Amino acid sequence: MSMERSGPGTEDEWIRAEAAEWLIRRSEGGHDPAREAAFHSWRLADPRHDRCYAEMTALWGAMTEEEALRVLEPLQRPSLRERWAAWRARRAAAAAGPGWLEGLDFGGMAAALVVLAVLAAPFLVPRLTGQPARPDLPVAAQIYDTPPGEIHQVVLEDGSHVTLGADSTIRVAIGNGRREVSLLSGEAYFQVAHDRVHPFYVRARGANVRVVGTEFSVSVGKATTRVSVETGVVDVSSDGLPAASTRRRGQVRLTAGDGVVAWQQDNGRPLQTVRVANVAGWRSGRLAYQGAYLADILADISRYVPEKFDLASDGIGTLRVTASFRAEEAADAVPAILKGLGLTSRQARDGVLFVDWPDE
Amino acid sequence: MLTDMKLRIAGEPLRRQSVRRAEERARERRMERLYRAHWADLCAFIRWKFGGGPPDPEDIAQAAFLRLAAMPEPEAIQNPFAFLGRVASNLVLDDIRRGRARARSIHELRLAGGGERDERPCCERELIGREDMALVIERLKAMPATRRRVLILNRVHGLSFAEIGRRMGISGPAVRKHLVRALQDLQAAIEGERDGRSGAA
Repeated sequence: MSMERSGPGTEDEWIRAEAAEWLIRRSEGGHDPAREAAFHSWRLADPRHDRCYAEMTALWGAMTEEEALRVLEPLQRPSLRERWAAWRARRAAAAAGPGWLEGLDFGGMAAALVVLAVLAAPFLVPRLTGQPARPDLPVAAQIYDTPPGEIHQVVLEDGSHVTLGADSTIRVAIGNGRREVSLLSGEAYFQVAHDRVHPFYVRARGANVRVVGTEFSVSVGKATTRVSVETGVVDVSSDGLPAASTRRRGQVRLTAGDGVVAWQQDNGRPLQTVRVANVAGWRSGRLAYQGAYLADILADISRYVPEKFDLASDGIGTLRVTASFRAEEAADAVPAILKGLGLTSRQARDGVLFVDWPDE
Repeated sequence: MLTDMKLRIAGEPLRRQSVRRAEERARERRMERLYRAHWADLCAFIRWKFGGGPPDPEDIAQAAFLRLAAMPEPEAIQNPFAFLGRVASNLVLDDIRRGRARARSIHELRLAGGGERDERPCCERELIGREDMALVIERLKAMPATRRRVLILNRVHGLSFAEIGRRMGISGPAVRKHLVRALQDLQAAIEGERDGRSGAA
């Protein structure tokens, strides 16, 4: 093993780096007398080496104990790259023969479809287009998602850009003249490549959007789904996909600065148009709300903080809140917002805050 | 097995001594079976959990089997592998504690110019105490997602480096590098706090 003690870092850091390298390298086993000899001469060269190695051994073992597992397991959300690798394996299997559609689940979010972020995109594209064309098949949906607290840019095949908010998931079906994105959770800002012949549709809970080329944002909250428009024209419908013609029942047309609030549970309720001052402020790390529902705000916040929220009643969720804070201050905003409404919160179980009225 | 059959065929009432001998042999055979069933797995388990030692994984596995054999009723143990694994973990930690106590007493001997031996119990401080674990957890949360994921797949799910690489679409050396960095990072969290505490005291 060649490890030169050069560059920055204290001696302790070097010892830790060497000890970790040895521990990981030797933990795979294999008979290698030369390596073992080198290890033992390193270990005995300095009592600090031996001590650090021994402590790391204990730490490494402790990471497999119950106490660590309880913490590690909630953190084990599969990564984008990992699910992408799983998807790639499936694509390879698909190319190998027919019957591959059986393995794909177009409906389920958790399905082993594609997942990729901007990180994965550069090396993804050639593989995508490298697949043999199968015009007889429906467009394979691709899933993109983000971990909590992280915003990613995605470039779709039609040239549209999507800024995917924290802890958000979209399913994309583009190809064969179809441009369709489903916002399964969270929020997304769309910069849609202009194509008058092929409208771009966004489906979200309670609100479906039709555009031909524009910039707008869609957020799926707990109670409502919000659409707000930065530039261009957007048609929104609460029931079915919006048509090209205006003035269809249950359909509204939005232009720059317009927003709409759709109720997820109640499709009969008309879409409520609002003015939006700062479209998708979350892109610059600011969460701003004017008279928004508490349930939606908490749903947004929970995509930036480790906690989830549980409301004692639906009534609490429909309390109106006006607030503005930076995403990194979201955790501090919660007690302030709840206090302002006269609500209390307590730890219900691991990672869940239960929000209720005070006891008396 | 053969002895049992002979005895049965003979059909004679067994004398006390031969009964004991038969029991001993049966016990040996059971240990033999357990050994064959679990030896390789136990060695692999120790190496996965603690790395390559010291203490040497095979020495620990051997000692764990001796503990099992010394139990009054080894056959009463429902899950022998779990028992062996637990015993082995304790043996590794004991060994590390002893090593640390030894190193400390040598160090103190040097400091005191050859004074009294350190008679304090060697295990006064847990190797990885509650406070350390809390620090480790904080550091885990702050860790880059990929590194944390690699660590979880290895520590929680017990996947080999190669399997992790396949699942995450990264190379084997990249997996190793992530684990080295993670381990380094977590150890730094514990050491940093320890130095802070002793510095403040």
